[in-house]
Amino acid sequence: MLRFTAIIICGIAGLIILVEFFFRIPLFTKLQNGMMDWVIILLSFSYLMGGISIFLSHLQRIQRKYDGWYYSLVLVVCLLLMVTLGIFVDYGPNGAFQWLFKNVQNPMQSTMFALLAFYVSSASYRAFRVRNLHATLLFVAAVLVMIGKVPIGEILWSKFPEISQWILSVPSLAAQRALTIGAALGLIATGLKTLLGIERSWLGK
Amino acid sequence: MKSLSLSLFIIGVIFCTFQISFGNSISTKVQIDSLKIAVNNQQSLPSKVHLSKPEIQPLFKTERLNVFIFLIIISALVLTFLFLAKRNHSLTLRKIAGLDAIDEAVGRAAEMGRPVLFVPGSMDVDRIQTLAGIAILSKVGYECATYEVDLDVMTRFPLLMSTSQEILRQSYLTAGRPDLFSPDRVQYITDNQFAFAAAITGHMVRVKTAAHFFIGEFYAESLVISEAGNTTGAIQIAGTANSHQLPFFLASCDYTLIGEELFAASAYLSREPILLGTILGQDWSKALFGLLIVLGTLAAWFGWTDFIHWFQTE
Repeated sequence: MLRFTAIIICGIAGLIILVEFFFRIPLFTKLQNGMMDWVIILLSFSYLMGGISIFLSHLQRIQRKYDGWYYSLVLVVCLLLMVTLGIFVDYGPNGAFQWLFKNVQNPMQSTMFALLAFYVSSASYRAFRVRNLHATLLFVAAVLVMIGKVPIGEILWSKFPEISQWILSVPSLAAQRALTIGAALGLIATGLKTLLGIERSWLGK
Repeated sequence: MKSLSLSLFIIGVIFCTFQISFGNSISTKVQIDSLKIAVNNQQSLPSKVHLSKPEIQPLFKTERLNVFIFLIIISALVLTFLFLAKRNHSLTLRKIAGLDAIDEAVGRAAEMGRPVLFVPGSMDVDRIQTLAGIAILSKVGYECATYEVDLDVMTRFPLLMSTSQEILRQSYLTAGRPDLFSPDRVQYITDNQFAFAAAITGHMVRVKTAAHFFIGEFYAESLVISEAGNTTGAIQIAGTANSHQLPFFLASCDYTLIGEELFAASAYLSREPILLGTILGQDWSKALFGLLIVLGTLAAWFGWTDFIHWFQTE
């Protein structure tokens, strides 16, 4: 019964959004706006639930002295510190909360992002190893694109930038569009199956 | 935790109901109050209120007519083959290596006695790719319960955490091992993109997970997590419909579900004739698009601009 109710709610909600997308019916516009407000409010509460979940989960690891429990301790201390500073002390632009955000969290995020450069190198090395015809084609295309994109490529041969652009604009773009069309059709079909209650994997079935 | 979730949900619903019921009347009251204050303070008010005649707009949003027509055609094709598939049970799908490898990955984790890690994308449950990832999570959960392998799920949004917990609870129940299910193994990490990637990377390195599944909607974090996972030597299966992230997964993972394969997973794994029928509908839709691409090329060749412009969306 609970599962059936969930399918009905999903179908009706989806139908309202779909009708509002194509038709100008004030009732549906109002319903859609209302539903969007619901989503925002429920999401806010879900973050509270997520915060409590992460706090309790790491507290348990500290209490039971699991492997790497000290990482959990760092997390719990930081979580409590940021919540205290944000809610009870000073959230303003010159406050401690913003100071920690700018000087601790932002640099850490940038560090993680910078790791991409090294990961791109190692992944490219693995992908470009010439093992078979496909890998050889990939390697040749990649070398041509890279040479065409750097200034020395044009100095070596003026046609390199044109070849590079042709590879990106014709074969590469064609493959990307084929993927996009296939994925878009899959997306529509999955959406349709979910709205009609045929696809029930999101209910655990 | 379940009672906490339920109570928070109830509070949320109460807030929503309050907002829907009184939101508009409160804002109207605030406007009337501010007008009263202006009158009391003898502030200048507009001498005459100009009421413009409202512009009557058509019921249907004509600028979306092309989208509407194609949605109807694709839906009709999918539904037609869905009903035909009910009668004809002999539909077969081509092999999808990434989905066949689920058993291999879980089996390897069982042999090594190490956990499996599943990341259902870096977006919330409102995205179709996440729903497709959840369908695969259900299967992975079932296999893990059968082979008694620990399964860790890391999510970027709390709602996805709750949904994944319920999906896995059902999977473990279906496998006849509800005693093995531990909701604590489904974790909400953070909604910050790179902090989420850092947590996954750290988990893979510390716990030494034997198999990794990265299935759903991914962005810049895809290479960070898949390449870090590759260095641990674990078997990796990825899947996404984001074409810009696919090369990274292809380079770093053992198996990759490309675009539409991700959406076909539910039908492929369940083998239900109705779901298989929808894939046949998708294939016919693709044939239609192929025909339109040929027509579009001819139209561009002969300069039929009206035909080309009709397909443009707002």
